[in-house]
This record gives sequence, C-alpha cells and structure tokens, in this order.
Amino acid sequence: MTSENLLDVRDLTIAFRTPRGYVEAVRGVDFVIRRGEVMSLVGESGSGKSVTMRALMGLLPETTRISGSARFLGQELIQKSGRGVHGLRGARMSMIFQDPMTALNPVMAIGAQVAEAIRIHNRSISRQEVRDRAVKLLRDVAIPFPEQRFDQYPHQFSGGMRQRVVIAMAIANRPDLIIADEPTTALDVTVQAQILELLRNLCAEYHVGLALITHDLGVVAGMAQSISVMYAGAIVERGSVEEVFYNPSHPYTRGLLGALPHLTGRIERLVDIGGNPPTIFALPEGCAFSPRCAFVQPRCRVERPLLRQVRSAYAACHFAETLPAYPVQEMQA
Amino acid sequence: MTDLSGTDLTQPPSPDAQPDAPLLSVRRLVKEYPGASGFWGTGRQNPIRAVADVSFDIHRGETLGLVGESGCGKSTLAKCILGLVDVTSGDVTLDGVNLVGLAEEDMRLQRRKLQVVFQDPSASLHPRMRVAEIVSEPLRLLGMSGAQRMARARELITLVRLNQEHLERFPHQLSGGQRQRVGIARALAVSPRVILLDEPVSALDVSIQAGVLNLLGDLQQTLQLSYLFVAHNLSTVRHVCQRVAVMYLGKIVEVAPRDELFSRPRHPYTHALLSAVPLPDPKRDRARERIVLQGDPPSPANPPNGCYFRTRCWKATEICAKSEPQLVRHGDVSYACHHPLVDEVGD
Repeated sequence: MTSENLLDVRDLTIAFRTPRGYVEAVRGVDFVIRRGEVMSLVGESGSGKSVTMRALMGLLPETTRISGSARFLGQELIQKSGRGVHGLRGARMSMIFQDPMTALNPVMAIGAQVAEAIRIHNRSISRQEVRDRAVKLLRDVAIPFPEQRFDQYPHQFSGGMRQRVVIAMAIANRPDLIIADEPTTALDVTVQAQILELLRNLCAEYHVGLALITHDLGVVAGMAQSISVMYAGAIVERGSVEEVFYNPSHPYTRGLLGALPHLTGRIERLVDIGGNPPTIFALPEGCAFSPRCAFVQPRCRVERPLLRQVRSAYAACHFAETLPAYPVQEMQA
Repeated sequence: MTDLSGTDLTQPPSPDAQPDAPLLSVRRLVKEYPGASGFWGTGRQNPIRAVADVSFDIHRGETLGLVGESGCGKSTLAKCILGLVDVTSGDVTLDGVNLVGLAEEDMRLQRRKLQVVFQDPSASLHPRMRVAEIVSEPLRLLGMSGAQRMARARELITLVRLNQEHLERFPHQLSGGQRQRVGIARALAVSPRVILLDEPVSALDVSIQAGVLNLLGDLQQTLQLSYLFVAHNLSTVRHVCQRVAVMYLGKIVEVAPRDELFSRPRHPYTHALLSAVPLPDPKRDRARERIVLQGDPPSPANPPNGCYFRTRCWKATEICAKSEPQLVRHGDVSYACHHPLVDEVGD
C-alpha cells in the first residue's frame, strides 16, 4: 500500500447562512485519506460529518461560507470554482448516498443512468461502447442478468440492488476517491453485509480511497483503517481503528462505545452519556462536550481543547492522559 | 407506585388466571392482505400472507424479542395483537381473554392492559398538545378528573426521568430521546401489564439509545411489566430480551432463550442474521467467518414452496422444497428446519 495522500483536509470550517446570521456547522476539521485506505467519519446526527463531505463534493448551497483547505490529487477543492474542479468531481472522486431511491432518477432506465455517468466525463465514446461498459459495471457490482436489467427502472429493483446501481455509477469512471454517506443505513442487515463486502472488494481491487460516513461503529470496525470521531462540528478523536476502539482517549468516544449493546460477551448496563448533543446555534463555552462529560473540570468550561497527539492517536481533551484507564472489554463469546 | 386514580388500575390480575399461564398468548395467527389486481380488476394475484400461522407466549415480567428484516411481518404481527388491523384467523389471548373478535367497548377495557410505544416519537405525539395532555389523555378516556390526571402526569414524568417543567412543553421543544420518554410515559399512564415496543430506539442516536434502553429495563423491574420488543437490531435485542423469536417471510423460524439463540443458533437464517451484524470490535469483526446470504428475501405474495428460506439457504436439499418444516420444540428451543445447525456452530 502506498502512503500517498489522496485527500488532505486542513482547518475546514463551514458556516451556513441562517436567519440568525452565519452559523458554523463544521469547525476546523483536519484529516487525510490515503490511496487504498478506508477512512471513517463517525458521529451522531447533526455532528457535521455529512456536511464536511458534501463541501468537498461541492454540494452545499452557494451561500455557504467555506474556509480552510482541501487538496485532492494536488488540486485545491475549496474556494475554487470552474471546470478544473468540476472535472475532478464525479470522475476522480464520486459519492454514494444513503437512500438509493432518491439518488436514482425514477423515470429513467437503470442502464441509461449508469451510461450517463460514463458519458458525462467521456463524451467521445460510441453508444455501443457506453452500453457495453455500463453492462460490465452492473456485472461488477453483482447485479444478476445485467443485460436484461439494463432496461428496467429503479422501482423494479430491491433496495440492495438499487444501492448496487448507485455504486456502479460511483465507480463508472474509475475514481481515486469514493465518498460513501451512510451507504447501508437504509438496508437490512443481511443486505448490508452484501454491500459492505462489495465495497471492501472494490476498494481492494481498484485501490481507491474510501471516505465512509456512518453512525454505526460496527460498520467502522469491519471496514476502516482510520477513524475520525466528530462531535458538534469538530473532530474530537482521530486515529487508527485499533487505537480508537481499544484505547479511546476522548470521553465522548468512550461514551459512544459504552452505549453500544454488544452481540457477544457479558451483558452489562449500558453507559448512558446523559443529556443531548448541543445545537450549533448554542454551543457551550469551552469544550462542546463538557456539559455531558463525566470527567469535566473547571478548565473545560472556559477553554476549548484542540486536537492534539495522545499516545498514538489524536484527541481534543484537556485531560486525555489523566482519564481513568479504559477497561479492556470482555470479548470472549 | 401509589395509585392516585382511585380506580382499579393497579389491581392484581384476575384471580382465576393461573399463575403459570402466559400473560399474552398468540395462537396460529394469520393475517392476509388481498393481492394486487390489474387496472380493470383482472389478473388478481395471490393474497399476501404477511403473518403466516404464528404462535408464541409471553410470560409475566418477561421480554420477548421479535426480530426479522423489513417485510418479514413483525410490524403487522404487532398491529394484529393491538387490534389495529383485523386478523384473518387465530387467537390473541391476554390474561385469559381472547382479543380477537372482541366488541369495540370490550376491547377498550382490554387495551388498558396492553399499550404500545412506537418507533418515531415525533410522528406518534400530537404536535399541538403539551406533554401533560399527551401523557394524561388515556386517563381522560377512563373518566378521571382533571386534578387526578395532572397528579398522575407528574408521577409519570418522574417515572421516565424527565422534569416537571417538561410537562408544559410541546413535542417540538423536546429532543428525540425526551420525546420517546414521553411516548413511554403515555403508554404507562393506564398501568398496563404488557407493552409492545415497536423499534423503540431505532430512530434515536446511539448516545441517546442507551438511556432509553436502561429506562425500559428499570421500568420493567419496578412495575413488573412484560414487553414484546420488536426490533431489527440484534445487539439491542440481545441486551434487553430474555427470549427471542426470529421471523422470516411471515413465519417464526426459531424461538429460543437469549443465550441459546445468540451462541447456538439452530436455524440457518438465524445464523446468517447473526453473522451479518457488524461487531464494534475491529479484531473480532475481521477474524470471524462471515456468511453472506445471496439475493433478497422472496416476495410474500409468491413464497417458495416447502421451506420459505430454502432459496437463500446453503444447507437446502430436496426435502426443503418438498415439505415445509414446522416449528418444533426441542427442550427450550423451537425451530422450523430440516437441517438445523446443532453441533457445527460453536461459539
């Protein structure tokens, strides 16, 4: 695996225009995605994980204020419009959405939609060639009878099959980076397993980088190499999956892991973090997690902690080193 | 808990009920929906059997989990038990009374013993009613006075660990977790014996789920409630249920005590379902053997002959197409399979 940085995001800040003025939904986010790596962005609803990725894809309203830097294949994506960046989006980087029904056009045949994704970035190839390539893509994502399925419409496909079509469109131009926003959340667990396996194989085969946005820590554990945990618009912990799952440094990450019911091991009372995530309109002073934190100190309420190195990972907590030792969970079935 | 209502809400169960008898008993329940027909009323398709001959019991103070994928009929089954849809055939017996075919007036009385908490609290709470009204409305239907209702609402709001000031709020002024607590308080208002929990935490964020699940567990202990916990998340089910029933295409394919089901699944579908759940533990998740089922569940309008699962089952043989396996009891465990996984599946 090469360690080439595919995407390098620095100090990304995103503010939306609202009737109450500009409000920051994402504050100073940094991360890197390498070629062939699955990087997972984890957080609860409203944490800013989807907004971050949509900004990179240029999908936010024009009134949005975006600052910071995001270099993709050496090109700056932020504060730059025009053809250069448009050509990258969709071709060199593509996106898979949560709900395949809204991502697909209901009145357009499946094959035509896949063909469109090919043709839009490659206008010179012949009609027959486009069709052949679209059929091959449908076969690559394991859609049975792709020739027959080519002329069918989205309503004739099951949820899992629709998501396969969306994935086929996302890989149509052999991208270097795929952004998947909750790709399996709308699917049943046995279908989720199929789609995750498909994504895992595609990443290995095409050697692409995958940015996986999810709220499901189970999906992260099985898919990702690195993880960034977001809370109230900022990354609170970042590191390798092993480090963050087995030795979390931020109280919020610990809370999230403790709140999960497990499929194996001893059944214990779940950790109830208590309270609710803050809204971006009224962020608390200091650390955004301080009102819910079990280890809160006076300093946390006044000084906002920055992401800094803690052991082999990064955490935004003033007291990451002095937290009680993280109990190693019983993992015997 | 004191009974402020002055009515018989917290009376012990009817004396003629046997102590060992199940509190809620479902027998051979079938729910069919008419099949779709063509535009001119021609070409009518087979009726859809959303629930196909389902039987189970829930005992006092017990939580039975009902799991399955979308379209397996678990929500329809819940609606049948609540009397929200008419059942095609079968019986639902609550505390010795058969609810099927009960007159509306009698059903209303029985519903005091059987309440429901829905998945999406923002859809199931009236947006223009204050929490106090929402929680006490069931009591108004029982003819309780305003002062009594208010006192009970205060008691209920404490029970679900909200504050008195929440009583004056509207649902939109509450967070998702708080709203679901209001939904639970409303279900508790009439002191039911059984609560049907239909995906009670699936709409909530992880850090909020834990609080609601812990609350449900504590309420069960203090109020000796029985739960039917309908869910698709197996980890959650394992955490709260003593017994678990697995549904596939309208049928129960396996029922077993929790630890038995999770460590030694007998039905291949149960095994596949468990193996598909991602584990929030990187090393274990990557190390384990995965069974990835091929294809999608068949349509309930046109189920396969024989065993419904055979089209996706890796153990299927000729007999599975010829004869439909029945749900048979083997000790604590019941399963409907010609080729159960007994010794091969270790833990």
